[in-house]
Amino acid sequence: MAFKHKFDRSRRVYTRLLYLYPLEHREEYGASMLQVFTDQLHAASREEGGSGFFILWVRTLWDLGISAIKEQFSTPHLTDGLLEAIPNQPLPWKGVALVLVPGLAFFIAQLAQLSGQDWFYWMIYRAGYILILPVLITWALKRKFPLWGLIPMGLFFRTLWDLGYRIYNGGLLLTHPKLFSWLKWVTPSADIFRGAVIVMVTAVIIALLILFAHRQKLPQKTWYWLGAYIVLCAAYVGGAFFDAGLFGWQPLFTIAPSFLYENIGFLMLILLGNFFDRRHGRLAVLLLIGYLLPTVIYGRFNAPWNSPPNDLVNIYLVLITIIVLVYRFIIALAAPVWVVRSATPGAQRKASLITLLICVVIQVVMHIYVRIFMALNIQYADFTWISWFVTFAEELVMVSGIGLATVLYDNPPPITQSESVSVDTLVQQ
Amino acid sequence: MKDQSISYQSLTPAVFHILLSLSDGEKHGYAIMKDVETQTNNSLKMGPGTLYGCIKRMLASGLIEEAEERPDPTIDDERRRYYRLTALGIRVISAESERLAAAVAVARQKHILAFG
Repeated sequence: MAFKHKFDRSRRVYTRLLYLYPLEHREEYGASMLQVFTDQLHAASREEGGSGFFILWVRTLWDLGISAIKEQFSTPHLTDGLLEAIPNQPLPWKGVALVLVPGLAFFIAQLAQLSGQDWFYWMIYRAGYILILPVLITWALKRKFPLWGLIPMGLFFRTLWDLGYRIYNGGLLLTHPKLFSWLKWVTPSADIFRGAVIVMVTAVIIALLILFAHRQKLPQKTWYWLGAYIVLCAAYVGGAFFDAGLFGWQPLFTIAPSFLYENIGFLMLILLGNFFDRRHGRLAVLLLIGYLLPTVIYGRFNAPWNSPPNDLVNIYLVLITIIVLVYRFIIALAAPVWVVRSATPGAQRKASLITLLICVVIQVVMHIYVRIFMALNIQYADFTWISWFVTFAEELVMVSGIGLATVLYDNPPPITQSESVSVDTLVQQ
Repeated sequence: MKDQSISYQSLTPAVFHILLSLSDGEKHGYAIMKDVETQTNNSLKMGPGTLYGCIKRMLASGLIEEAEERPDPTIDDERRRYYRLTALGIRVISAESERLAAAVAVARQKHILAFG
């Protein structure tokens, strides 16, 4: 009786363990493997008695572990949808799991921050460097940029861009007495030099975008979105200058680039997305999701945020925290799943647009709450209508950027002359 | 024309012994496993995972095929799947055996083997 119990239990456990193999392998050979294992159980009990079961299980577990890993890596379907999505099919869930890695890391970090652990900030500034490593290794080995690398790439770009701002704003390199003494011969002040560099970079990005749009014969709406982006950037800087009481040419060259820095980076990323949409099409929009991932980082506040002056402000802080968590959930978990699980191009476009616009709306709401909080404190009492304009203009710049990106990624490069000839030849044959 | 079996020179021990086991007739998985253990004096013990991983790859390579006939239900479980060598499998196991025999002959000449 005890033998039968052990026998049946062993069979049940082995049947469960067969789930470690890929589905195709299990369906084809699972029954045969169970039959062989059953034969082994019979032989073990007959030849070696009670200890036979134990020895058999040790050997079987070793064999199962090694062979299951081998089968998992040798099954052709394993890599389907991991490097790139199959056209008109949703990304398989194992691919989705990889896409969600950066979002999960950030979401967990956000929750940790709410519990008072400061490693969230460490995560913000260093996750970009860590998460990009497997992407670059895969890119180098497979010669294909993986789909799940788009979010880390957007994140990495933002991290580098932020690092650039710290160097730019600190003026460490440009004002170093020995290394950059030659600057005195180029320009009367480091501020003007920095401003000029940013203006030149902006001009180059816009020129590249115009060149690309012209060569690809992109539709008229590309120009509208690009125009809207430039006009809104100008409106934002103008509003910010007016708000700060800055007038004249001097601040235009020295301070304006600081205001434009983030928007220039966003525009550059949109341009960068063109290199990825050849392989990933509309899913290149995941780059923007990666870029947006570290934004809205509030949740636990330093002084004076930690000691709200009254209950009303306290309620605001709670609401801000809830908004941040909702934002994080959408941008880190819900949006990527919706985008990569959408099969048709139209559904992908809809998923990208709606989720990105929800994120923009949340950011606007977030900023409004922060502004109200500031207005409730005496030190920020001079909050004016122009401050509101600047707040909204900054978000509208982002909206126009998203519009530009979706139009650009909606128009993959046309078929070249040689490709069209070969297609014609095939049709004729 | 170069023999296709040349490309199968470096068979793994498990694949070699499975081919050797099937050389005297078709067998099911457990029978192959026991035969391999006998051939190797229990030095090569395969579990079901390794066995069917090898079988899968050998089927894909055309070295073996599944026998269509099932055993008599009164003698054995009719769900058992039997495998046999293909013509390519026979050529490959022959070539590999000859290669190993040649290597053994060289080892004897060089007095590496204790008994000759």
